[in-house]
Amino acid sequence: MRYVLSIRKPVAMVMILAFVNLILCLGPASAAMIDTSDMLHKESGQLDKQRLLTLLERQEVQQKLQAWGVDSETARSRINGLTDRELSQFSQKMGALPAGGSAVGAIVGAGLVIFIVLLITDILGYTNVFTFVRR
Amino acid sequence: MLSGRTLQTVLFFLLAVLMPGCALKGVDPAGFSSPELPAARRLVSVPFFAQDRLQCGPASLAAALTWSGVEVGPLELKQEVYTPGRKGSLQPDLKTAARRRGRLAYEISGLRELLQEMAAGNPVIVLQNLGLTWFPKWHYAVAVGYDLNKGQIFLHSGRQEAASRSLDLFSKTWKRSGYWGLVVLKPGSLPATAEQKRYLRAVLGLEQAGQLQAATKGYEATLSRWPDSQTAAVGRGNCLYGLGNPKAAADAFQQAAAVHPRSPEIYNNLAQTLLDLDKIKEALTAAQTAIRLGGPHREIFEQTLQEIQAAKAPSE
Repeated sequence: MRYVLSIRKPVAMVMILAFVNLILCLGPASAAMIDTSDMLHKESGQLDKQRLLTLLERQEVQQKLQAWGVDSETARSRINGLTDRELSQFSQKMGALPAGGSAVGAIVGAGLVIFIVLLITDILGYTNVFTFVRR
Repeated sequence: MLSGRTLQTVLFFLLAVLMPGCALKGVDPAGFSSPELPAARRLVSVPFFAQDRLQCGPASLAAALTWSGVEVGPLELKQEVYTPGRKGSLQPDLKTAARRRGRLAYEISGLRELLQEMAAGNPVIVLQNLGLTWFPKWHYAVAVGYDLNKGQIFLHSGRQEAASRSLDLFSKTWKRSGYWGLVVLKPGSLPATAEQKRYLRAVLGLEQAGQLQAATKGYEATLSRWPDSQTAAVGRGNCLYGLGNPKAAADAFQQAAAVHPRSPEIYNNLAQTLLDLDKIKEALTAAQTAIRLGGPHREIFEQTLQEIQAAKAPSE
């Protein structure tokens, strides 16, 4: 089992590379157009983004979204609408990215001390957690 | 009653929390008033959707999209926007969901920009941390008005419609997200705080999402504000080409080449488009111009030339 776990990563890496290779070979067939994204990079004086890196990032972000309970079809369509730059930022910050959902449930479970702290910071006007604190 | 020990603990926590907070400068609403910025504004035409548990993302986006002319409710957006494993919605997912509906997602930052957008009549989706940095409670709301004299902002937030908050408290909760705000617009229109590069990125997002018609309008709006933008000129041609209209694309690239005679990329795309139109001779001239001008994409220009030569060969 441990052996299986230890080789899982390299195997995954090889699979991804093979996959990417396939995409690159299939890639845009005939049209030799400069795309708008390259143009923006050039006009901003930035280097062209490595396609390979971007493809890997797309794969990585999609897997993460799926791990978070998003079905594969939806995950793919979410990622497809992102520019290369946004995708890079997304993949770099994945875990730290805030998810707006106002999860009050977590706070109720967090214990009395935090409840009191947040209540007082609410009253003092530093936070806005409880709707019953009127300001 | 709280025991002495508990009270001590609470005070310790409070001090730890508030010490850096005290250094925060309070918002001075008067500092924001200027001739272009009315003292108060209410956006009454922004619809309100009460949120279900954890669904502030879909509810806020539904309000912004419906305001922009795309009628959609929070439930329809849930699958696209909400991430179960994170018990919330991520910022990029709000943007792509707007793009898939042909709407421009333009990011803003900071109180001045927020007020400017509202003054121009545009509602803004804001990400707040209603809790503390080390104990976050992330929340999306829609800013739908303000009153600088009273120091208030109005938010569609949670189950409250146009709820008033003090600007001071709001800025503290907004600061914790890095003052992240999103304006959702029809692609032909410009936000009040339009900045060339930021706007182009928003349009590029539309193109990336496959909304080529909307992206074309976005590039056209860019060109009417910033006629020098090479990216917008190329983008417009590329979108028309992608829409299967090489004739219009060739016109677009020709116009672009007239404005930017030293841009090899424009000549390359013109050459490819002319080739598609079977105008081999003109395509050849354009491709040769691209190669002569050179630049980092030379390899692609040469590929274009080869394709044109290959197309030319059989007829000779």
